[in-house]
Amino acid sequence: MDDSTTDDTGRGNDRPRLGVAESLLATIPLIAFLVAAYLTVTGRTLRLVWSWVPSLQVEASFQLDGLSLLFCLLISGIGVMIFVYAPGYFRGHRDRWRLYTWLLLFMAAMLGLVTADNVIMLFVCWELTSLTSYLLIGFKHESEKARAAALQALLITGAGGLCLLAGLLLLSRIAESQELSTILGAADALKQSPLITPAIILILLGAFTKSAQFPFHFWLPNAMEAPTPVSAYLHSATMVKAGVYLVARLSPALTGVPLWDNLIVAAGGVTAVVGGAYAVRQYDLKRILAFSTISALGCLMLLLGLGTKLAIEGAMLFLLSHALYKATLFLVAGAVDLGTGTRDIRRLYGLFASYPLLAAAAILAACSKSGLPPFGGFLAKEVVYEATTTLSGWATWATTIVALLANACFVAVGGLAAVHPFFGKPGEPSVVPHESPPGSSQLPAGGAARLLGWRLVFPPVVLGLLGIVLGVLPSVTALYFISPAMSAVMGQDIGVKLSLWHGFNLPLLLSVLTVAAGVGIYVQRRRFVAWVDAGGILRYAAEGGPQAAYRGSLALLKFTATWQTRILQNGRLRLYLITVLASFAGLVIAAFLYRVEYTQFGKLLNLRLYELVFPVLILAALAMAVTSTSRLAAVCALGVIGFALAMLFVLFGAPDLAMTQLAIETLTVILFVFVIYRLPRFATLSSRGVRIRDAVVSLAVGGMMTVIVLAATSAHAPSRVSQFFVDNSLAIAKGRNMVNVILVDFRGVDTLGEITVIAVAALGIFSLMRLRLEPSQVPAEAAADRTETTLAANGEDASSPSEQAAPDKPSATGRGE
Amino acid sequence: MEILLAITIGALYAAAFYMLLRRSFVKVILGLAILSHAANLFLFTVGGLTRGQAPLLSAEENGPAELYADPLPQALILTAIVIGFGVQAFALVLFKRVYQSVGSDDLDSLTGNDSEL
Amino acid sequence: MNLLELFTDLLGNTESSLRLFLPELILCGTILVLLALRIFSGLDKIPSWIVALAGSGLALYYAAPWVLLEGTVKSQEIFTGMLLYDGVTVFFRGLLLFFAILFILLTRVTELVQSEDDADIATLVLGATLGMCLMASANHLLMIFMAVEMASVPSYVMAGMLKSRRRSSEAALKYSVYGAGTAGVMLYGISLIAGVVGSCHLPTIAASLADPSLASQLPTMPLVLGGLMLAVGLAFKLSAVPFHFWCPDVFEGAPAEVGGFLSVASKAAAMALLVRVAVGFAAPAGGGVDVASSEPIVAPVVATAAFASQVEGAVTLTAADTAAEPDGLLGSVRYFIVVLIALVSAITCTFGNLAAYGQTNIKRLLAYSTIAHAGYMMMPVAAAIHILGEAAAGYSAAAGDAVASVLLYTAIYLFMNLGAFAIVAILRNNVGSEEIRDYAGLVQTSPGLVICFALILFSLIGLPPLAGFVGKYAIFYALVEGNLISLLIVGGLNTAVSLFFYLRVIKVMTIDPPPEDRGPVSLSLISLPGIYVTLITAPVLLLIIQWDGLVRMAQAACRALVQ
Repeated sequence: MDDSTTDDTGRGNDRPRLGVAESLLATIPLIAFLVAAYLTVTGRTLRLVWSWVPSLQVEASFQLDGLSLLFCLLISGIGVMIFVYAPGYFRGHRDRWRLYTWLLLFMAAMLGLVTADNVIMLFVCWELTSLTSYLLIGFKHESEKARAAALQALLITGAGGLCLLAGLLLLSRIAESQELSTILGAADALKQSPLITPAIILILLGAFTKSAQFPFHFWLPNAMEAPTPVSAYLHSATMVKAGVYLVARLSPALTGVPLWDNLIVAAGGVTAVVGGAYAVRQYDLKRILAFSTISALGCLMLLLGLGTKLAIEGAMLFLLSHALYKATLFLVAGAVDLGTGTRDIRRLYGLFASYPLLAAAAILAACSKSGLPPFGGFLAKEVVYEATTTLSGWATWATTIVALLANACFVAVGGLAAVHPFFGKPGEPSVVPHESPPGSSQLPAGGAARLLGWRLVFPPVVLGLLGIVLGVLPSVTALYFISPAMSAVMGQDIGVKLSLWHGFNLPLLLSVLTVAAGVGIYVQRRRFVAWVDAGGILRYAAEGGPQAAYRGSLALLKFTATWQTRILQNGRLRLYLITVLASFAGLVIAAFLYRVEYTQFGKLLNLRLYELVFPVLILAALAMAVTSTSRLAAVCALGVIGFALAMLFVLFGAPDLAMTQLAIETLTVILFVFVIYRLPRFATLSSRGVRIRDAVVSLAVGGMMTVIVLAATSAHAPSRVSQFFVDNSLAIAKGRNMVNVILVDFRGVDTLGEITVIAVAALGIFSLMRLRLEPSQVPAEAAADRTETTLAANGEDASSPSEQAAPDKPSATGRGE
Repeated sequence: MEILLAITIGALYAAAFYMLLRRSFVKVILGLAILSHAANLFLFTVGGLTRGQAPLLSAEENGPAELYADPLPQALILTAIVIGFGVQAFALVLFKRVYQSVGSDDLDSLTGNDSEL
Repeated sequence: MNLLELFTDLLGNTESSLRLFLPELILCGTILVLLALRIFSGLDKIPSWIVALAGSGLALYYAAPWVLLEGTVKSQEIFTGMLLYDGVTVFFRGLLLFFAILFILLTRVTELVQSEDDADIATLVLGATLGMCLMASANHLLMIFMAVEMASVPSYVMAGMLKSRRRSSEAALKYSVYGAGTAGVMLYGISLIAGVVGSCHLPTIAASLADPSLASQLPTMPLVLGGLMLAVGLAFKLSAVPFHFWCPDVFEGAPAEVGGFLSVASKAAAMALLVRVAVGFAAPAGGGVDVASSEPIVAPVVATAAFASQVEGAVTLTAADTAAEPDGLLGSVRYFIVVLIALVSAITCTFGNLAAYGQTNIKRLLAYSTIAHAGYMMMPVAAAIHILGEAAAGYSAAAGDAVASVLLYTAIYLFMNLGAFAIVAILRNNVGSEEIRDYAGLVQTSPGLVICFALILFSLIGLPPLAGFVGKYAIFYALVEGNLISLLIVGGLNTAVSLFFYLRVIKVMTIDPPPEDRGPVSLSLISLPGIYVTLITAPVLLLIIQWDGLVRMAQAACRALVQ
């Protein structure tokens, strides 16, 4: 392999010969082209079905009708030219085979996309084109910009693709079939379904992202980081038209749904104007072409959205002629770039002498782009004007103006991209005359340009010539390309007659106006750009806004991601516990608030005044315990709570409980008073924010418990188990105090367990008191503590000698809880 | 009455959890104590409040009085009270030892190596 | 029935059950053999991993998941209703045993353990697999609890297997503390449900819930609380938010291989259990509902209304309006399950994907990715229950197909995640790091491995034509069928978000320059680890060509579930 690759195309200085395989690459698309051409000429529509996943009703089905064939012809035909061109362009590049593989994969995916009849097949191909586009844009992976652009394109088109999948699934659910042909046949069912609105929005998100419609268009100019043959193929002629294809494909079913029509027309119109005007202010040849592609895609969408017969006719014609001339211009730009080492139009002029053939191809393409007779572009433009002028009401005015603006810009772009580099004089198209272009001292003189092989010249010339063929043989164009495609889009058989000359009519007048305006823009480019930039609105719409939104949403995503991770996953088990508790409490509260019958509460509010004392006492003591800064006060409050509880037990018929509670409470208070003075004073360690957060979580838990109690008490059914004790305590156990009988007789073993727990706790206390801690043994206690109350993470030295003691303690205490 | 007790229970739980979430040991112990009170009152209330008699069978009759409290929750709570005391005592002593050996009552000072996120 | 009859009956039942329980028995036997190998000095020459492989291979042979290709499996209860032998059992058991084989091979390939310990890991793996098989076939709430514990305890030990590493011990501790806590909560929930309904047997519970005459007598409060508590246990095993906290720490602390085990086997078993519980509660088996008299519950709104009225009935303890509720509590139970699963899955998915965004450690990243995928996998279960609620009779093939998408995804997920963790383990052995930045520029020296990893990561995103797309498609399709459009949108958005962090790993490996201080790392695909990775990656790449078989297996497995 040649390692002397230095420049951006990775060419070596010597020009290695092409291998046989490499030079014959073009035969693969050629075969596809011939098949498509044969089918086109014979006028057959094919349907191929293979069983793929019958259990999910996913078939690998393909349908070739007029629309598919038109796209197939474009994909394979331009593919032939690209595969002739690419080996010349990448001559000797070390990674060229990788590129060819991806290009072929892309072509296959694209052909699959436009022929697929099954929506899943279509989606798979759709995402494959996004994926190959990602790989191809990032081909120059040493370049940071190329990588960023590749990622951006993948994210936008990939995300759009996912929306598309969702939309297509919705469509197939409504139509109860995954075959496009069936879905299109179920137009009425589609239009009546309530699911159609989300389906349309999702599908259009997919189509708009792929076809670079405003406001998702910004990835396309950035994708120009790809090598030029890739840009010519993917980003002007084929892949970006996938969205257009999809819209056209679904037109028979969805045209007439207001949401569908309006969204498409609006997006298309804005895109056409913004892209066109913005193309004129670029310097980079490829960026000029990229923005004009955006504009053209906008026009196509606009026409499809209008949905009249003339509009569809215009769209199909424009699609065809645009693919031809735009590919030509891109290929010329690539060749010029390779020859001169620059794509900056401020440095490219007077190259006619060096590259006469390229100049011829460029001029042919520019004429078609400008819509001059007898080129294909002229046919398209006439029909488009006819379509827009025959609409009714304000739509006529709006669409005609949009079309006029876009077409005028195309004329100017033709001048910039095709006329100026070959016939221009230095400094001519400069916007800011005082600002010298970077490296202007080394402007290549005409003769300094490198010689280019035939592979770089032949394809643009052929494609440029085809532009004329379209125009001078309008009946052939109409018969073989436009009529079948229109029939597919309109869903009925349509024969179209095309001719170059329609007589003096409104469209012709508009054409003249367009060319005049375009020339005007080209000549007065500086003023036009100043006008475009005025107020910055257009600039914002074309570049700043959507880009900023994209970056902003990325930044927001990143911020949210790190924020939620920092907040929730910060490694502190206590916080984890809080989250778990809070969400569980939230769930329970939500579940109960939803269902508790509030009318039942009257019964529950049955209150006697003297009973009010103890709950209030408890609440007051709680407030004291929580807020007190004195340990003794807190312990006292704890005691008050315990005694108030005991009184409640007395009031509600549980004297045994009250007695136990009183005894235990006394013990507890004594214990606390003894120990608490050996413990540190209360300290306020947490910040205010943390305290508030904890308070909120605690209140949620408290609320949950309240709700549970309410729900439980409002639907209390007497226990069947209790009745057993009532019936049997005297009969079997010979005891009259049922509580006692349960404890010592019926559940005597449990009580034994209880005593054991107490004994274990006492043992633990005793051993803790006796334990003489060495400093190295400290963490073992921490381990016990962690398990019990705080669950704070602590990785300690596992070899600590007191390790064996540690696990027992929490288990003893844990059982009690 | 149940509503009032429900609110009281909620408050007890809220206070208990709030205290358990403190970094200071002593407060955590207090929280534990309140928690056991909360649990007892919860069981008691959910088990059904009866303003009537204690679940005692009078000497004359074989059956209990007309309106009597459910004995089963009482038996359970009785157990809970006793075990709760054991837990508290143990926790109290444990914390005291930890305080003695670590020399701090900040629970976060025990946190060894949390994730760096 | 006297004691003798009872005994004979039990014996007969056991005898017929044993045959269907053979794979589990073989696993038990293998574990015993493995332990014996360690005890008897003469036998310790026999490599334990071969025994484990042979055992799980034999078990897989008897589990025979391929019968699903030929049609449905007749579902029958075994061991007096403790376990259920049906298509889902067969599918998951096959999957888990197959994974066990792959996993044991992986531990050999990556030399996870020193020789004196490898019997331990084989024993632990088989023990956990045994528990997971029981999870997949559990038909009784207590069986569920026991199976979860059987699967969990070996997992705790495996998480702490790197004894010398502090993080490993910490991970194991966190895992077991959380596990014990949630297990306790789950047991509490089980006892509440059992107390209310009076049975732990899932079909019996479902039948009681569906019984219109019982609808007004069942107290709903403990039922809902019990359901939520049971859900806590499940959510822990699924690492669903907010019970996921253990997951990243455990994955980071444990060896990558164990991470793979937890992320695949544990998740698969948990999904099986979720299916069991959700469908078990929502679809009474054996025609407990009178089809003709059922009123269709067409939309959540209607379900809500029914729900509210049933609540009223339950609370006021009046049986007046039971006639209006032919499904008993079933409608509200379904609604409850759908809302709960949908909510948790949406949050889990979103949290996982967002949290993965900022990770620098590959294992933590994969941990969050695991969490996110758990979210995706839960979605169709909600869809299935929703379909059940919508369909008049409650039994519709669409619900079964929705569940089948979970099975399909789980199977695909096995390859993707095992592959990812295997590569992480292999790279750990060679690069000596698990930080993503240390993978920089690997493509230059080990292109094959990097391509495999990239394919797996692309597949995890769900990009066609890789296997992950097939799974995502099946799930999205189920969501559309189940009319859960909001979940569909959440899933779609999450997939878009997940592009970022997976691509970042690929970018680091392929584009960033290799760090200066790293020695030459050259891993050919023509090496033992390379072949292993290739074999795992191949299905990820090639499944798209013929995925009908897998779909048919999954659908066959689920057909009996709701019929």
